[in-house]
Amino acid sequence: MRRSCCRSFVILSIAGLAFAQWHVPATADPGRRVGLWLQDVSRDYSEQGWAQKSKRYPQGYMRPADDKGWQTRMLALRAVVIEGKLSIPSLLEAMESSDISQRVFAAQALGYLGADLPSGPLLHAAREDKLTAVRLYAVDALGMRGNAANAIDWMSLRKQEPNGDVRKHIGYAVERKNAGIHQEVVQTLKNWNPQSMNTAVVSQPAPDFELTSATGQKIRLSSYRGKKSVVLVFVYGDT
Amino acid sequence: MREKLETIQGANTELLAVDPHETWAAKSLLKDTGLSTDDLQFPLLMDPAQTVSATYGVAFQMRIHVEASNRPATFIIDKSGVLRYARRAKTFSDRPTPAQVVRELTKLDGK
Repeated sequence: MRRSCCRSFVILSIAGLAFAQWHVPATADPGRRVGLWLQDVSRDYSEQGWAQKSKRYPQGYMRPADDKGWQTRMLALRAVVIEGKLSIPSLLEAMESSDISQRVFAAQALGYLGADLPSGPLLHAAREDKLTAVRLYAVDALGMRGNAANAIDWMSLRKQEPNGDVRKHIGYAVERKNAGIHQEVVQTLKNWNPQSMNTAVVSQPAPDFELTSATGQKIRLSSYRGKKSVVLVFVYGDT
Repeated sequence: MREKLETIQGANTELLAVDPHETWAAKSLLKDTGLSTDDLQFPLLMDPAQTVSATYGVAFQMRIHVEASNRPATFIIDKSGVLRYARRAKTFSDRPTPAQVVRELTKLDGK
């Protein structure tokens, strides 16, 4: 056992080097406007290197493994919740962009504004956008408005939707029964320290966190320290 | 699979799953498979703000959302709180088997 421990240490160190990734330059200034972040989202998004090409998705649907754009999108999303409804004009403008990275990001981000966001442009995107991801996130965002989503004719939207995943999400939007995005979610995103982005590195202390389980139990990673080892699985690596 | 789950959980180890959706969505997804959240043998932790996912370098993609575009990630943290194993999948099916996880756990050597 001793020997296998040393060997595993070497293997894990190599794995650690492979996983020790870039860090986003600290442009996480909370006063930075969403409009500027949207420019960065475009800059850091690439059409190149997408994997899993298929007939249905000729350009591929899997983000390149070395993609760094997600960190920019995360910072931009945080900027959206910090700026709140003041960011709506920038996001609506982005919804009209020919740049798909703008439209997908804006559709995702608008949902976090909950009841404050206007439904018209999202409904338009849910009906008309050529890109599946935009329609899907527009549907999610409409559902996240809570009571405000009441007036939407979900059935007709479902009828005309060609993609099965989007139809499924229309189902979820209906099923959430007017439950809007929880303010706690928005608060968590607002309070998150961007310096902790991508800081899980092998052979270093695992970043601590507290999350609530689906059955309502609050669980803190560090509560297992000295008691148990933990296997932590992110079931949807990318969503 | 269930047996493996018991091996993982039995070896002085806790299994935690992280899901980036809101709770109601997880419930709805489970319902599709005929389960409720009470049937789960391990805590399903909800991370709808995606802050824990981003901290662990497992963040949201954007392009075409299909089920098979998920890239699950697996981490092993030893008893002293040190991260000992990290695998962020390149594709949906690129993930350690339960047997590999058990092997990694035995490597921890009681730590």
